[in-house]
Amino acid sequence: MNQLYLVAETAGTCFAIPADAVQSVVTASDIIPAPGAAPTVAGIAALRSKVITVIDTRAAIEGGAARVADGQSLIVAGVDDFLYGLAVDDIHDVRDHDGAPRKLGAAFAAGWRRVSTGIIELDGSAIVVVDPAVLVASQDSVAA
Amino acid sequence: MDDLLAEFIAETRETLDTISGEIVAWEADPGDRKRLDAIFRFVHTVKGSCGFLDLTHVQRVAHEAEQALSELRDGTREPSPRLVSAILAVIDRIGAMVDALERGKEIDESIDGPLIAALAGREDDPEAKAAAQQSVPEARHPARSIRVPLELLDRLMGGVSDLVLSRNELSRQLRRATADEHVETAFDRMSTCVAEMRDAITWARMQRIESLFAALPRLVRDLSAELGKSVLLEIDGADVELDREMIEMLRDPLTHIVRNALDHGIEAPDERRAAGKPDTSILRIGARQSGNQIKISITDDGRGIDPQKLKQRAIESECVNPETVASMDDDELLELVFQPGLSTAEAVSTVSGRGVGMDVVRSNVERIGGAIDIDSAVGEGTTLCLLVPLTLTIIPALICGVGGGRYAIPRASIDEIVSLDKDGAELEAVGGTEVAKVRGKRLPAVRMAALLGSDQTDTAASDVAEHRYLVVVRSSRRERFAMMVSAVFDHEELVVKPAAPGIMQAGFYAGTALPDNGMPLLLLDIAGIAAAAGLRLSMADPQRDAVNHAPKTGSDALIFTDLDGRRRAVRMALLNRIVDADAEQIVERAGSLRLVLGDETIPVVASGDLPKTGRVRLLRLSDGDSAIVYAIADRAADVGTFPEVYDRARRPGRIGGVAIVDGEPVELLDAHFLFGEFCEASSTRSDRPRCLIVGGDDMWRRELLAPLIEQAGYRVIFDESAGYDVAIDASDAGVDLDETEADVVRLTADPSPGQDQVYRYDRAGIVDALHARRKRSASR
Repeated sequence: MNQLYLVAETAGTCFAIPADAVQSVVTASDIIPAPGAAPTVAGIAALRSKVITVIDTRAAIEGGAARVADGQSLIVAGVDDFLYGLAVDDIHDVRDHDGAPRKLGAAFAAGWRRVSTGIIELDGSAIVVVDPAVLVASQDSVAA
Repeated sequence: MDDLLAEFIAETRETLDTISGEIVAWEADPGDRKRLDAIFRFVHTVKGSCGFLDLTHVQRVAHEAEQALSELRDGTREPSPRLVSAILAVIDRIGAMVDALERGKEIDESIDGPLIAALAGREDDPEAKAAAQQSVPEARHPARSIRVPLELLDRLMGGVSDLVLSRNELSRQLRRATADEHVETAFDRMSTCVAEMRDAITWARMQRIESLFAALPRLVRDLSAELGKSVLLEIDGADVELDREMIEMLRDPLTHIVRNALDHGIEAPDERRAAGKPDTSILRIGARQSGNQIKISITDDGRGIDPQKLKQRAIESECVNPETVASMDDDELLELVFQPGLSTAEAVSTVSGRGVGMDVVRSNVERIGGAIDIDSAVGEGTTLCLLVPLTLTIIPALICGVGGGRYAIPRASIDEIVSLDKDGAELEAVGGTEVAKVRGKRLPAVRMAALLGSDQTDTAASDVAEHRYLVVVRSSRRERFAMMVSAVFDHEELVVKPAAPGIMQAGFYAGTALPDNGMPLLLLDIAGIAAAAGLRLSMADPQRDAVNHAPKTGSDALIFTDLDGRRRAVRMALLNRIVDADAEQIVERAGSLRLVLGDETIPVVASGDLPKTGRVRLLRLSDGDSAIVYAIADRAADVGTFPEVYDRARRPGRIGGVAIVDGEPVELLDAHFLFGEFCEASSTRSDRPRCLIVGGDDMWRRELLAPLIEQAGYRVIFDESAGYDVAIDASDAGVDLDETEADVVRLTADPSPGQDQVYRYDRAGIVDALHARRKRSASR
């Protein structure tokens, strides 16, 4: 079974998001901060007539405070009736992959382990598959 | 009534469609309790609706089916195949009757006798057997209206909002480019279309809760007649706006609650008399927006619900574990009302009382994210409160600046806005915290900049810049506190959507909104802010009361910026409320500007040019009887003290005088003059002076002169013998009146009238002369 993946890069690491979870890719601008929100939330932004919640993937994976600059790419994905913009450093490609992601026994860094559902192999290199639903979820349970 | 019937037909048909699958499944397995319940509920609802639509025949059939189903549920009867097919035949029959109703045809009642017999268990009756097995011909009439799925409306709404945003973008681009008249005209036309479309879509989704309440007076009237009770229905807050979907979802629960209240809550007149209550009971239904929820309360002054009785019932019906019930307190026992299969009614009536209802009510309300509360005192009455979320309701909000950010505050919770730069408001440091002192009243204060983390530079200079306004708010629990913000921008109507969980976890946001400028906003949750700031709000109260005893130095006033840019003040006591209206709602009728609001029109006072489009802020002033609205500029208004000392205006007019407030001259509105100028002297008042018109052409004096005199505040009479205060002689001849000459105004057709005469088309002259005569005759 074939599956399309959007390959993006954050914090120097490439990862893949199943393309059917992705609605579009837009450029970040005019992000309104939401003080007090989860640390991964950079704020809210307008996507046409909708409000999206901007998540800093770097903060979601590596921890730290969310910081998204204008001009960064946002992967727009819907999770539980809410639209999110996942800020990444770079968007590489949309790729086709045959077969389900494999579980990897290797010890990822804690952040990656939380958000990944497995790995796929593209052009001879392994790429982490990230589940947007986990990425946007509050990190409290991990921190504890 | 036709609306109700159409509604009933559409609803029943819709439910029939969904339930047909259940029926087939139930037929295969008659022991399936869940499906049985679903069918039972359907029949029960049909019965109830028929009851108040006065479809007695359908009601009777449904009642019989319900009876049989109820016995099946209780297990007193076994689901024999014949009984099952009889019930199915009834459900088909209901479908057929609904079709007949829609086409306005007579319902053929003859075939229902055997059907009822089949239900009643006389299964051997051959006729009954035939009736039960008879299949109903498929002759569905095509529906005249369509029901549109809300997702489609949502998509339309989304599309139109996108359209508005791209129109705004286009308008920005156009302004930058060279102006071409043709392009601009075309663009304007498009703008109008877009605005109209958006209004239509918004309107399609929003409804005044009135439409939910509209059916209630009839329901209450019919039910109370049927039950022999006397009930007065009071409805409040019908103008609260609610999402259409919400209204649909609330319709059934509300009907059920009202039926229950009338049937069980409210006592019969003699019972009420015995309890020392007035014969007529009062059923109060009210809706209001409370924080980020809409609260609908239904209160009766009936016998209330006895928790102990409920307890006993619950144990008898075995729907609750007796041990659990034994340990419950009264409040928990009351909650048992929502248990499926529990009823406090002594007898099963056709109105209600089978224990379906409250559990359905609760599940319906919870499905839309709402909650239901019950409160009852034995002998005093019962109150049910429905709380439904604000999601997708449009709420008016104030946009405030905090640091560099903008936030929306629901206007419903704002009491007032005061400026810290001016008198009457200051901050005091008390015991390591800050307290705002607004006109002598102390309130807990929350530094929004600190709470929202934008207070990076903690210097005295930024302190002044950051906290310039106090927004005094009141949370849903009636706690007052002041929020310090750096700027107050704008009022706007916002469509609020829920925020993502990651944002909601902050605890002080109510949702997100996207205003027309395309920059998203966060709506603040007042109760959440109070909690986040750790306020002990109740502590503030005693102190405030102590200050209140200080002698008041004057009445409150609202100081605002008028349309012509001047600062003016009006006494607070006269101010009903501040209304934001569409410019289109203000129309020129009968020579004066009027605001069309619902089904009333109110005279509009404008001291400058009214905006042609967009929103107009209006002060609604009332003198107790009549109201006028005063258009003001859309800028922040302050509450201050109405100056006691001021320089009076040289001649009476809209402005009564001028005073210095905070070093600025402020003109004081003369409300008395305004009401005199803009409120038509009400025509019913009998103490108006009577003006006799004699002589002249009858048509002329009745059709031309009389209206002018009426308008001038007189009652016109034509009969000399009736007695009068002043008189007009419309003949050119000089009619003899047994009154002193001085009291008669003599009209002439000569444009250059002689002495003691007035030209008959000199409007001001006639009125002045009348007033002068009137004054003279009154002083004698």
